[in-house]
Amino acid sequence: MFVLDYFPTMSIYIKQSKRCLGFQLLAIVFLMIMDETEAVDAGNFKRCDQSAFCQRQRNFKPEISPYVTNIDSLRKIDNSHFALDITNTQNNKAFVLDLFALEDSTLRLKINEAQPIAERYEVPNTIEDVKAQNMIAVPNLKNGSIVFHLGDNTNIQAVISCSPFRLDIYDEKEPVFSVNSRNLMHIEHLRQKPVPKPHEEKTKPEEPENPDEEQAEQGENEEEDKQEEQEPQEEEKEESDPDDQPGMWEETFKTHTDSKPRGPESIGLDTSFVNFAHVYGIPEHADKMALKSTVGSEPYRLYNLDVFEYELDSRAALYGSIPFMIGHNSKRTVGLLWLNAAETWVDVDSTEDNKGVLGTLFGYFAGEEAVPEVNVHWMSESGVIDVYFMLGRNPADVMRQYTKLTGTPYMPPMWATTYHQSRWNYKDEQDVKTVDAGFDEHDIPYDCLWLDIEHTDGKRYFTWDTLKFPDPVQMQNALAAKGRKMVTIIDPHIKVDTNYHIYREAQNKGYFIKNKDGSEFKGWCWPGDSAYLDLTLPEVRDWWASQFVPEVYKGSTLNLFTWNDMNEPSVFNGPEITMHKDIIHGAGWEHRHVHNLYGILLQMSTVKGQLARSQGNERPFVLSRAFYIGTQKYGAIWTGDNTAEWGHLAASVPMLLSIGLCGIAHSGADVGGFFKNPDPEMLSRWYQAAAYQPFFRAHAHIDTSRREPWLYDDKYRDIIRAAIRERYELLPYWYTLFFQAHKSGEPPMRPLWYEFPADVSTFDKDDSHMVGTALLVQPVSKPNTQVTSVYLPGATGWFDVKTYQYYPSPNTVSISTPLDKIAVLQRGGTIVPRKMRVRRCSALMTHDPYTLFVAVSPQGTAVGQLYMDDGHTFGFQNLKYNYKNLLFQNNVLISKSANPDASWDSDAWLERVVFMGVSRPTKIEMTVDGQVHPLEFSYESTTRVLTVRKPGVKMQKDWSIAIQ
Amino acid sequence: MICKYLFLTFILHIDLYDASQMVQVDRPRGVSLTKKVLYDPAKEFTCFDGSQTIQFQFVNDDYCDCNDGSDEPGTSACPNGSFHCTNAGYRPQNIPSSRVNDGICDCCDGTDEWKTPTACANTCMELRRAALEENKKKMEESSKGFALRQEYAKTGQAKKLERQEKVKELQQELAQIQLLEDTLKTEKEAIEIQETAAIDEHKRIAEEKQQKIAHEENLRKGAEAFSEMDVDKDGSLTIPELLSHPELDPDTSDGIFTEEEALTILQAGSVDMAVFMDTVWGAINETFRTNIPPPMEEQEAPAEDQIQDGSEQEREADRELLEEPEEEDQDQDEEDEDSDEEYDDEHEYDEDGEYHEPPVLRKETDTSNSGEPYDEITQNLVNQANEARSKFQEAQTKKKNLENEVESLNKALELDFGPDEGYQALQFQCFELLTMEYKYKLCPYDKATQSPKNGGSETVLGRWGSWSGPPENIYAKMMYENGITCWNGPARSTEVVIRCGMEHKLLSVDEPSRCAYKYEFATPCACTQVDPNALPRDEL
Repeated sequence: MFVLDYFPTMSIYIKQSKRCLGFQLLAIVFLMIMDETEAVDAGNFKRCDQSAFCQRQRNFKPEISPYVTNIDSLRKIDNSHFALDITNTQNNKAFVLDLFALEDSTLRLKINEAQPIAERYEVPNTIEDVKAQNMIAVPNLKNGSIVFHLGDNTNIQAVISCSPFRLDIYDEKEPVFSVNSRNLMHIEHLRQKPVPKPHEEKTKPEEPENPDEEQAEQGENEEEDKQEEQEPQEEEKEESDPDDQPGMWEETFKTHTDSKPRGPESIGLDTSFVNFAHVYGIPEHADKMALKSTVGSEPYRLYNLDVFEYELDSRAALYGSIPFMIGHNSKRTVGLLWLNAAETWVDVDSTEDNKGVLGTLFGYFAGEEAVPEVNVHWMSESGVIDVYFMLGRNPADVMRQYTKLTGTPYMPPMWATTYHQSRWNYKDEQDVKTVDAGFDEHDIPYDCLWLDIEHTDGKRYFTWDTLKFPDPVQMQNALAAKGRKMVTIIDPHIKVDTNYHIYREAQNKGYFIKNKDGSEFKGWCWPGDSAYLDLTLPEVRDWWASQFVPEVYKGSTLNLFTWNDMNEPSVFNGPEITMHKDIIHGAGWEHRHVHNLYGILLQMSTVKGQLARSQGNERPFVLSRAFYIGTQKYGAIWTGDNTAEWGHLAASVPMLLSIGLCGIAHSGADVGGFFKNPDPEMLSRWYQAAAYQPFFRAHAHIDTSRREPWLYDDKYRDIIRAAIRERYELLPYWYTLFFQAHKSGEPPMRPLWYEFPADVSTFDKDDSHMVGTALLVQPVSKPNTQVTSVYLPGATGWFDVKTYQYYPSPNTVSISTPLDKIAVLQRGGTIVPRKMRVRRCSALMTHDPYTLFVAVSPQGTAVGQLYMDDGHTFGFQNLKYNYKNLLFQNNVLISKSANPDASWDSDAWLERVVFMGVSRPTKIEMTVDGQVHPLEFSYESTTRVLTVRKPGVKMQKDWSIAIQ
Repeated sequence: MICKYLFLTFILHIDLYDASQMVQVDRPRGVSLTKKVLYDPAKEFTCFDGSQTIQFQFVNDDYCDCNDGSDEPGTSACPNGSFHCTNAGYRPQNIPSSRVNDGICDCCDGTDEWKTPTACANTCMELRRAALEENKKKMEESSKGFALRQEYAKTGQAKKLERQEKVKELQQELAQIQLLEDTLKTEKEAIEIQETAAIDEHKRIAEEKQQKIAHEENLRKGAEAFSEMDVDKDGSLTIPELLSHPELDPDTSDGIFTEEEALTILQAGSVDMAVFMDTVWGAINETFRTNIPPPMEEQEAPAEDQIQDGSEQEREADRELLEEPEEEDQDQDEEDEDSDEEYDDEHEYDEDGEYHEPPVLRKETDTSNSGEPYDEITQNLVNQANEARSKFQEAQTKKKNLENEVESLNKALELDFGPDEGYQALQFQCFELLTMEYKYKLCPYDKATQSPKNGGSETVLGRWGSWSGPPENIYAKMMYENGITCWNGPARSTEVVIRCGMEHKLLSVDEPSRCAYKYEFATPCACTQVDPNALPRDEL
C-alpha cells in the first residue's frame, strides 16, 4: 500500500468514506489534484545535496588522509583481536581501531572514538555469535606497517599502514580489499553545541578556549580553504567554525525541521574492491543487479521508506536496507558488510585506472595491464565504523560467511513456498469462501488467502470488522480443513483510541514512541491518528509477541499467519513519509540511529509471537515490507507497491537477485503489479515469471479490477493455472533449496554468475536467473514475445523442461516462447525432484510420490539433492527429515542419505525417473536393501529421454537404479 | 495437458439415483457404468486417445501410462484424470483425479478416499433428502412463479398490443392534425399579410400627424421666444435684447456673450418676427432657454418618448415569438433529450405525457406608436389574425403532444420485455434493498442507484443498457452502465443477475470489483415451467 504525502493521505481517508455526502465534494477536489500525479513524487524524498551529512561526507576529499596510527600503540586484546590508536591529525581527536579475525575467512574492522563525549550507536541484535580465529601481528618498523596473519586461513593477510592509516587485505598475496586508500575516512567526533555568538562579534572569530581546539579549527579551516580552491564555484561560507557548518545542528527538509541535539556524528569510509569490475547488493533499489557508477549522479541510498509508485532505474531508497556488498570477478567472490542502521548513502566508482589502489600499494606490482577496481564510499549519518570483510572465495563461500555472521534464512513452512492469493481486499467471509471455491472449481492450487487492512475494525490490528467477518475462526477452519492457511495484516501503527485494547494497554505501559517533550508521538497512517510502538525496547517486543496467542488475538487460529506492512515505519505526515529523526526511543537513542532497524524489529517480534502460540513447535510465517541485515532469519519480504507494467515485471528479477545475494532467501514481487490493471497477457507472463521466484503471491490495489485467474478468458486462465501448477510440481526442488538456504545461506534464486563464476558474460546478466544449481529461467517481460534469445552458460548443455530439447552450451539460443511458455532449462549434470500429482494445496501432497528428472551431462553424470520433512514443524531440528544425495554416474543413479542419523517417516515413494540425454538401455535394475529387481521403461529416441516406470521404492530409503 | 473436468451442475431438473434400484456392478475403481465397457480385464487396455495399449494390470496400478489419464480412473496418478463416484442415492459425480486419496471427502459415498475407508462417512442419503426437499421447494416456487409470470406475460402482451394500436390510432390522428395545421397556417399567413399592411398604414398616418404637431409646436415656441426676448415689445429683436440670454453665447469658452457674437446670430442689427422665424429661430431653438418658469408637463415630455420607444421594442420581440413558435419547441425538445431520459419525473411532460406549451404572448387590442388606438378596420384585422394564430398554435401543440406520445410508445415498444413480454411488469417500478450502510435501488429499464441509509444524495450506479446474459439465455442478466465515474477508476456499472422468485425482489448487492456492482434480483418473470416428469421419482 502506498502513500504520497499530505494530499493522497487525505484522499485515502476521503476515498474510504467516499459515499458520505459531506466528503464527496472535498474528495473531488483532492482527486483532481491526485489525477495529476502519475508516479513517485521525487520531491518528497531527499537527494544527497538535501542531506547535510551526505553533502559534508561527499565533499570531504583531502589529498592525504588526516588519520594516522602508529605501531607503538599496537596491542593484542586476545588471540584474535588487536587494537591500535588512530589520531585525526587535523584536530588531534583520538580513535581506537579494533581488528578481529573471525572464522571462515572473515575479518572485522571497527573504529570508534577513543573517548566520545557520549556513547556512539552500535547496532544490536544483528551479528550472530561467530567463532574467532587466531591472528598474529607482525609489525614492520621500516615501512611503518603491520601485517596480520590469520591462523586458519593462511592465504589471507591484512596489512595496516600507519601514516596515513590504511588497511589492505590480501588473499594469496593478491590485494582484494583496500580501506582508506582514497583518503575518504571521516569520522565526525561528537562535540558540544557551540554557544551562539553575539551578533556584533560574528565578523571576528571567537578566541578558542584551548590550543587543541584552535588547532582543530585551523585544520578545518585549511581543509575548507582547500575545498574552496578546488571548487571555486562553491559559495563562500560566512561561518568558519567547524562545529557550526550548515545542517550540523539543525536541518530542514520541506516543512520538517530536524533538531539535532547531538550535532554532527556522521561517518564515512572508502573501501576498494581491488581487481573487481562488478559489485552487487546494497538493496533495496529498483535498479539493475550490477551496481553502477554513481560518479556525477546520486549515490545509492539506504533508508527504509514507503515510496508511492516507485520508479525504475533509480538508486533512491525503498522499503529495505542491507549495507552488504559482494564483489565478483572470474577468480574470486568477496563480501563486505557495513554494519550501520542509520541513513546511509553509498557512492560507487568503478575504474580501470591502475593508478588506483595498486599504484599506491607497498611491494605489489600489478604488471603492466590495467587492473579494474571498484571504489565504494560508505556514508552514514551516525554510528561507528564497523566493517566485516568476507574473503570468499566462491559465491557459496561468501553466502555462507555472510549468513554465519547475520543468520541463515528461516526454514519456511512448505505452504509458504507455494502460491498465495491476496488482494486489497477480500471483503468479507462470503468473498473468501467464493474465491476459495473458485480455485477448486477451476482446479487451480493455492495454499494461502490473504486479508489486507479492510478486514479490521477501523484499521485496528488484531481486530475484525465483525459485520464482514462475523466468524473468522470458522472461516479459517473451513480453509484449514483443506490444508489451506490465511494471513492477516498487522501493522506497527496503532490507532489512537482508548477503547482499542492494543492502544490502551500499550499506552498504559508507556510502550509508544514519545516526542522530545515526553508526550506520545502521533503520526498519520491508515487509521488516522496513530501511535507507534517503541520496538527498540525488549519489553515492548515481548508484549507485542504476547498478542498473537489465539486467546488474545480473538478470531485467530493456528492456521492464521501474519503480514507486517508499513514498518519502515510509514508515517503519512512525517518527513519523507517516515518518522522524525529527532524522536527519542526508549533507550535514549534518537530515531536517526535506529531507523533502518524498525521494520526488522517488528517482524522479529511477530515471529516470536507466532512461535509462542505453538510452544515453539510450528514454524512461523511473517511477511515484512521493510527489511534489514538479518531479515532472512525471520521470514519473507516482498518488493512493495510495484505497478502493472512490463518494466516492473522485468525489474522483479534484478531486485530479487540483489535481495537474495544479501541473504534474504524468501522474496517476491506482487504478481500482476500492485497498482493499475495488467492486461491478461502481462498477467500471464507475470505468473510464469513469479512461479520461479521464491515468494509467489498475487496482490493488487483496492482500486484495481478483480484478478482471480478465472476472471480472464479460458486461454489466459489455463496459462495461469499451468504456471501455478508448475510451481507445485517443483515444490520438492524449491523446498530442498530453502533447506539449503537455511543451512548455508545460498539463495534459491541466484544470478547466473553464481553458478558460472568464471563466465564473464554472465556478470551483468539480470534478465535471466538460476533457481538453484539446475534451472535457468528467463521470463518474458515484453508483449508478444514469440521467441526468446537465451544465453546458456557452462559446458554441460541444457534441456528444455517442457520439450526436453537439448541445447549444447555455452551458446546463445533462440527458444520458442509462445504465450503458454517461457524459457526454462535444466542444466546438464543436474537432478531435479518433482511431484507430478498437483493437488489443491501443498499439504495434501505431503506423502505423494516423486519423479526425478535427471539431465545427464555430456560426461554422463548428474547430481542433485532432495530434502523432505513434515513441512511445518521444527522436527527437522531433531533429525526428523530425510536429505538424500542423488548421484548419477557410470550409468547408475544412487540415492543416499546425506545424514544417515536423520529420518522422517513418509509413505512418499519414487514414482518415475526421467533421464534426459541417454541412449536406449537394454535393461534397468533397481537395488534396494540388497534386493535386485528389474524395472519397466520407455524410451523416446528423438529426444533421448528414458522414462523408468514405477520404481516404487520409499523415497527415504537408500537405493540405486542401474541402466544397462 | 489440462482437460476440462465435467462437473455436474446443480440444476432444477435433477435426476437422483434411486438407492433401491442400485445394483453394485463390478468395474474398475472410478469408472462410470457407461464407461465400464471400455475396461475389459480380458483384454489389453487402450488409452481413450488411442496413443498407447498397455497390459490390463497397468490399469489403476497408481502409475500414469496414458497421456489422457484414462488408465488411472481410480487413482491420483494422472494429472489430468478424472474419478467417477457413484454416490448411490444421490447425484453421481466426476472429480479430478488429484482429489483421490488426498484426505478430503469429495464424494458423498466416500469412495474417493478408498485408501482410508473409515475417513469419510457416506452422506449421500442425507444429501438426497436435503436435495429432494430443496427441489420440492424450488419446484413449488417455480410453479407459482411461473403462474405469475404467465399473468405478467398476458398483461405485457396486452400492453404491447394496446401500445401498438394506440400508435396506429395516434398516427392517423397525426395525419389529420397535420392537414389541419397546414390549412390553419395558410389562413394565418393570409390574414397576417392584411394585418401587417393595415398596421403599417396606421403607423404612417400616425407618424405624419406627429410631424405636423411637432412643426406647429416649434413655430409656437419661436413666437413665444421672440416676444419674451423683445423686451421693449417693439416687434423687433435687437442685439442688446439678445444679450440678455447668455445661454445663446455661441462661444462659451470665454464666458462673455459679445455684441459681435450676437450679431452673427441675428445677422442684422435687429430683426422682426418674420425674419426671426425664418433665419434665427432655427439656429437657436436648441439653446434658447426661457426665463419664464415653464409648466410641468413640458419638462416630462422627453421621458415619455423613451418609454414609448421601449415598449415598441417589446412589441417587436413579442411578434417574433408569435412568428417562430416551432423553432422554440424544437430547442426545448433537444434540451429534454440531453438532460434526462424520457420518463423522468422532473420533466415538463406531466404524468400523462402531455406536453405543456410555455405561456405564449398574444396580440390583444393594441395601440400604435403614438398611443393612438387602431381604427376599427385595422383592429378587426388584428383580431382576426390573433384568432388565426391561436388556432394554428393549438393545432401545433396538439400535434406535438401526439408526436411525443407516439415517440414514447415507440420507445416502450422497442424495449425488450422478454420472449413473452412478461418483464413489462417491471417497467416504471423501483425495488429497494437496505444494507448496513446503504439503500440500493433498482428501477428496471431505468437505473440502479445507491444512497446512504441515513440520507444523502443518490449515486447512479448505472443506467439501463441491455440484457446481458449468455447467448443461450440473455435474460439471465441485465446490465446498467455509465453510472457516476469513480475516483481513479471507471464509470460505475451494475450487473443484475435475474433468477426465479415468487415476487419481484432485490435480493442482494455486492461490489466484487471497485465500482462494478452486482445485484441479485428475483422475479416470477424468470420462472420457467416445471416439467412434471422431472419431479423426483421417489417422494420419500
